[in-house]
Amino acid sequence: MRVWRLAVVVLSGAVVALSAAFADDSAKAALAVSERASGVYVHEGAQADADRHNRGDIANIGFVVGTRCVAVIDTGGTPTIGRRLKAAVERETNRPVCYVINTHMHPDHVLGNRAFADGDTRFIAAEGYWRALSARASSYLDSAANHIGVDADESWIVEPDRMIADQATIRLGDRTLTLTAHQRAHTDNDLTVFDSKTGTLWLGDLLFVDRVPSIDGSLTGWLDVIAALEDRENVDTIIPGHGPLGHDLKRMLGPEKRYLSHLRRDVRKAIDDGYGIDYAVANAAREERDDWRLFDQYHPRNVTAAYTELEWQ
Amino acid sequence: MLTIGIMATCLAAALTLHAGPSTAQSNIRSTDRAEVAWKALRDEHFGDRPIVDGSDVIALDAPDQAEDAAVVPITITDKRADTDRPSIERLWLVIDNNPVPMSAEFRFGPAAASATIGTRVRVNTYTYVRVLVDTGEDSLYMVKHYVRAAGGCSAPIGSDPTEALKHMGEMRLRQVRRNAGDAARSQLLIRHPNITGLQMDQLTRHVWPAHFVDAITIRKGDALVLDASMTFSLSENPALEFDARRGASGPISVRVHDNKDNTFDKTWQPQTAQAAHEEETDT
Repeated sequence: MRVWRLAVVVLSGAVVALSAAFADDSAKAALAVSERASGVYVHEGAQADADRHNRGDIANIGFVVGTRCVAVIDTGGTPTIGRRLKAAVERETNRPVCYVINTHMHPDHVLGNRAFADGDTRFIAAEGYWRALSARASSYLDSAANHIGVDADESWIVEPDRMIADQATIRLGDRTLTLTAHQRAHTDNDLTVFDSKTGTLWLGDLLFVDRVPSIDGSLTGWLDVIAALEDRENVDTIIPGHGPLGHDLKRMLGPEKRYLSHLRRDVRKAIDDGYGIDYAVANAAREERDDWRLFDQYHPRNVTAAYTELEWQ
Repeated sequence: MLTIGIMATCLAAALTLHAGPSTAQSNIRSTDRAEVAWKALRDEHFGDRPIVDGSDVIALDAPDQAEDAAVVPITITDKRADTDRPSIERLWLVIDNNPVPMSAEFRFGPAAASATIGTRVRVNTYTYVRVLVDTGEDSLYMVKHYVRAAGGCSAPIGSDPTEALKHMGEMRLRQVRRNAGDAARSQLLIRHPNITGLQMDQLTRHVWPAHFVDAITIRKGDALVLDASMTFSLSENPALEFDARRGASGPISVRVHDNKDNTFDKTWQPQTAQAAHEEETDT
């Protein structure tokens, strides 16, 4: 890519103008972000699996600007996306990034971390994050290389400075963020972030909107977390890990709760009726199919995960 | 670093095989490449004993494309049960391209109603899964099924291994069937982390030492149902469906052994097993 861009520079003005058309895609351009609450900036990723077209830009990521410094919340699926997010921060403010908060260990949320790893930025995640990420790092990097078509290496993986077991607050000057670690749900290291100044709740992948949820933790745990979250008050803006933002927490959680409930109901019934995994995969929660993107890609695996979890309950 | 070598080799094999066209009429692959591993395995394990097509003797059900490479459900159905033909005495499960291809061996005793079994396996790369059986005739019978899945052996350990050890050795016995109308069979569930020894923490370079169930013996009363030995190819929390003779009397007793020389025993009194069965047939 570098060679190609160099060539463009020395070519005629017409070609240079053409290259400007690609500017939004270039590694240096600031990521498109919008201010969804005062000082809260969000970039919405594509509702797709990571591929060469979206280049790993599939998760919702962003940052919160305080009077002292900035907290970045998730960094995207490659260091390039992380750098573009950093450029977006620098476009909006001259304050430093003092924290990178990762909502869980999945690659589409954390492989941009390296862009923030030089300097005084501290990395924060939930307890369990490092164990989970370390165990999966090589497959995440292989997957990035294969699906996005980039050279991925271990330098993309940044060890957190702090892992939170329960709850913690961090100060950005005029505003304080409350970080809450949850029981095993989407993963075993889900972390939510609440900005009390604007009532903004970052749910990470505890909330999938439109895109089918993927279970990499515990189905029953996830339903418990949803039950605990859904009646929460004083939340004005909700940021899901995937899909559009909204303002009505209970309503936004509704479809995900319904999907997971149907999955639990049907897989339990398959187990109780003495059917094996293959039967459950073919039959459980099929009525949900038309309501979700990427259903065929993730649902069968969700059923397998649900089955092996529920058969021991 | 040996494990990296193995994984890299498997990955390369997966990519190579993936590049080939898929066969339309069945999932049997005719490419010689897919059979390379088998040729060596065949000589090593079965010498020059003739091996013939076994589709009249056994059926192997496995997914063409596995949803989760660490939990690939397979069912082996005995077609000789309730016939006059020689019955299946031994059965081998081979996963050609797994790090240890010879995945399990079963010997059936007088309390086995059939050699029908079901389990869940790890598949490390695109591979044939094959089943060979010995009926005491001159030839062995074989069937195979091509499974597209990758990463099952090196997939991260599902739960915290230290947590998993707390429940190690817990067992359940229940009745299962594949589809409505099928006869119910017993399924043994064993809590065990079944760590492959290939699950490496890439950053700390820590490899969880292999720790897996390597033998299962099931009896009904004093009579043997089956005696099985296996490698880490079985999934975490191994599951084993088997077919015990209904007429045989006595409790079902199970002995499980692992490669760290732990032994776990459990016995289910007949009324328990029978109650489970009756409950099953009522629904």
